[in-house]
Amino acid sequence: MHIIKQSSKMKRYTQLIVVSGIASSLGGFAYAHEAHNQMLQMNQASQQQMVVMETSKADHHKHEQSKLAYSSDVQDAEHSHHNEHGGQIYQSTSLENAWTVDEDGNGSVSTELKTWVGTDENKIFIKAHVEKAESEKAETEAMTLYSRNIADFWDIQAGVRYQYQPEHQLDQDQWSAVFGLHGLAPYFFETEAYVFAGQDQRWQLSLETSRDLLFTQKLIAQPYLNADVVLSDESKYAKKSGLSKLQTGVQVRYEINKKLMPFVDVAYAYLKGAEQTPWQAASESEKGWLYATGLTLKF
Amino acid sequence: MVNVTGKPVQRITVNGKFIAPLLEFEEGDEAVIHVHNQLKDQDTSLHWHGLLLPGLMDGVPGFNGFKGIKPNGSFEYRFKVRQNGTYWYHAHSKGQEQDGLYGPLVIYPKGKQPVAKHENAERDYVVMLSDFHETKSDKIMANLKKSAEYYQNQRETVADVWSQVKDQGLKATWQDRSMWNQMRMLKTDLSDVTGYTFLVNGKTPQQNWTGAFKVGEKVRLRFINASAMSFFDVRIPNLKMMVVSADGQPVQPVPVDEFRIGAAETYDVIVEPTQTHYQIQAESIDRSGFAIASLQKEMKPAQHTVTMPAARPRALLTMDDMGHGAHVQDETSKMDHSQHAEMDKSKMDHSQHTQMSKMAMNHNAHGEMDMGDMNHKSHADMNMSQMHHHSDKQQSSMSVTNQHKPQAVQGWANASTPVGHKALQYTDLRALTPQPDTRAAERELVIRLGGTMERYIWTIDGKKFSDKDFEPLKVQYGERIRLKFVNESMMAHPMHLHGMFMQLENGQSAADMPNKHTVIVPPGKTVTALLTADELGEWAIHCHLLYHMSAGMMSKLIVANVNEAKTATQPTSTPVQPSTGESHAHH
Repeated sequence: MHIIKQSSKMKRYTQLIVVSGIASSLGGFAYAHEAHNQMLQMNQASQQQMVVMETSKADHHKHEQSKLAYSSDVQDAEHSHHNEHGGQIYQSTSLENAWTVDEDGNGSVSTELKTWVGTDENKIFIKAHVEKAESEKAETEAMTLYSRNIADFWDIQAGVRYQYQPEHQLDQDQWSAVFGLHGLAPYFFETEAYVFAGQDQRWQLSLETSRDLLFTQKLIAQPYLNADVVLSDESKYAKKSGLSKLQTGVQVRYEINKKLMPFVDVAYAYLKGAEQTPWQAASESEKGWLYATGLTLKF
Repeated sequence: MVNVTGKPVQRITVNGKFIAPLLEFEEGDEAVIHVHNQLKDQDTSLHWHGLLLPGLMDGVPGFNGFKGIKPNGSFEYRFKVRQNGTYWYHAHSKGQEQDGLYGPLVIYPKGKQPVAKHENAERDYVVMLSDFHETKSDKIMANLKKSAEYYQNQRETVADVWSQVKDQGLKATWQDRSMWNQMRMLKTDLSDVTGYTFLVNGKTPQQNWTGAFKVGEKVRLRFINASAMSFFDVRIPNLKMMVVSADGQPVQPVPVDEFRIGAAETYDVIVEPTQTHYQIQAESIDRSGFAIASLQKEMKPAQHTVTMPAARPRALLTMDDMGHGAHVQDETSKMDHSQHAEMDKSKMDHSQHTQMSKMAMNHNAHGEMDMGDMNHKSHADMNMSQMHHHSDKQQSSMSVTNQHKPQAVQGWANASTPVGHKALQYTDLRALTPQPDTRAAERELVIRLGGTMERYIWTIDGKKFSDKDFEPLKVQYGERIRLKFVNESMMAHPMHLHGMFMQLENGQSAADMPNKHTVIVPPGKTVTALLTADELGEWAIHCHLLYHMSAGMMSKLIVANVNEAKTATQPTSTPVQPSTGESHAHH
């Protein structure tokens, strides 16, 4: 500590303050466990070894000072300070890995990545989903979205979706435009709703919503509903139009901490099936229970 | 490296010390403070909190031409000390305040003569309360932005809803909860960040900062809440405190048993201890822990183990706190309140035993702990000690408590003050000497405080400081202004004005209104203060919860001579209404 007081006759106190990161852990330890000689607390500052600073006699007229500052280009200095009061860039990423089994014992593994980076107003969202059923090749879906805050709880989003379906003979790559809404609906429903417009007159809606129910602060159930509606589809591997997929269930997670959350998931799913086309046979609708277990990582 | 909680972490030091040193001045001095920034890659700044000084010396980067202090750079603060009292200083750059860049600043009256007879005291101690976190400030902010519930570990569970349904019926429960659900707010959001270890003068409860006294002496305690995010209910069991100063400004003495202190506020109290030992207990209002210190009779051996007091019940926010007036105070919650009060009292009497060491251990683990459980456990322990002691009168009320098992009380302002105890209210504060300016306000500036927890965005008049269309508040030099803080959010905001004192409209006459540099605006409430704009310059006005300010809850009040600097536009003004009693702070 380098605080010095000059003689009180001078009626001027000079303080030297050195702001620093910490040097050694040993030293730090000593400071933190400094003798509990508390009665000296008030006097410590004045008892410290001083470094005398040279001081001028300049007298200060506050009005002059502030006027001066006022006329200077304040905008400039302010600019750098902006970022510290609401203009900062943040990010959030979650990675959900799951092992799912259906009623017939067919298993699949999936990984879902969700990440955003940006300010309160403008963000980039990236979402990717890779799913591999047993004895099939992995299917991939990825979206990149620009997200603009439009209301306290809502963002509108626009971007592109890419799908890769290696089981298909043709048109393995599919691109769609995406437009949607992302936010927190009343009653704490985390909600995402998108419209997709793709090649071959593929028009599709999707809705995902979920809500947390706390059993304890760490054991949390999350009922959810995911629905896909096909408005039209003239692709080679078209799905039947109408409600093409519905999955509703409960994911129960245990938040070991806010970064590591194992979960189990029980859901009921309905798939309407595929349309008859020259490239595929029609398929019947399927429905049944899904059981999953997995791990969510957030960072 | 700093090691406060047992885990060494990297923090900021001043002159090699974690928790910056006490700076002492005398009124009339010229203060010269030379600040050298040794931080590797960040700018820094120091702000003298509560001091009247030229704008450039106020130390807010971007204001009055002050540009911060660059790495390896220096800045010489130099100003005439025009006041006395208890103040503090802290960084005004990013989250450096949380990371340790704060310290007390005490200005003694000229010749160290007390400003009034009742302020005569043989001892004078700073009691600086603060909140230490093992996570660095920038990381805490990032976590809040990832999920505003990141640190919410006292949320209500399915079981809480179920017990409410059982107690009040489905309909009442639905009515109570639907509004909260529609607003997407949590009743339990008393503090945004948890996991703090609360410190007194940089010491943990176990390190137990201790001030000595002799019986017969008067002791002045200068309480400073230097927390980044925490409010405290402060009490010294069995010791009456006489409040003599608020925010460094002398007030007519008010004898109290406890007071609530918001982030950035200060209160000076005078106590006359007679017992061998007293414990200073500053409990965070979310009841997640205590800052603990002791007063110890000189020459008496100190107790070796620190006994942690049991937590008071935490408050749940009500519709009233949301500013949705229709709050019905139901009888049961009122009763719970008084019963708890009794318990708190009984706890003091019987507390020296096993229960307390248990509590002390709990405290260490409180980062990971379920706080709901903690409340519960402490009740249970209390009941047990009660049994052993067969104590007299309180038995009956304790057994009632057993049946009902209350875990929370209603309303932000409910500190669970024991019946018959006096808690300081803003309305109690009266300036010691008459205010020089007793003019009515010429104009009213409405300052709306808002935000959403979900996105962790906090605003003044709907704007973040960083917004492109942010407009500073402009007032004429010498103008008399009413600042009307309207809290539209469900959190309390300690609103701090730099460079000038506000006269809090607390129901006292204009001459008696107390000076404040920070006023707590409780959730859903309106608080007004008068201001004589007699300091030219640009002054920050912001919420002193660090992460609210970081999220944007800051504005700029420009005091200018409009005739000279033709820049000022006519600010939007509303007709001045006569002061009414309804908007006074009750905290």
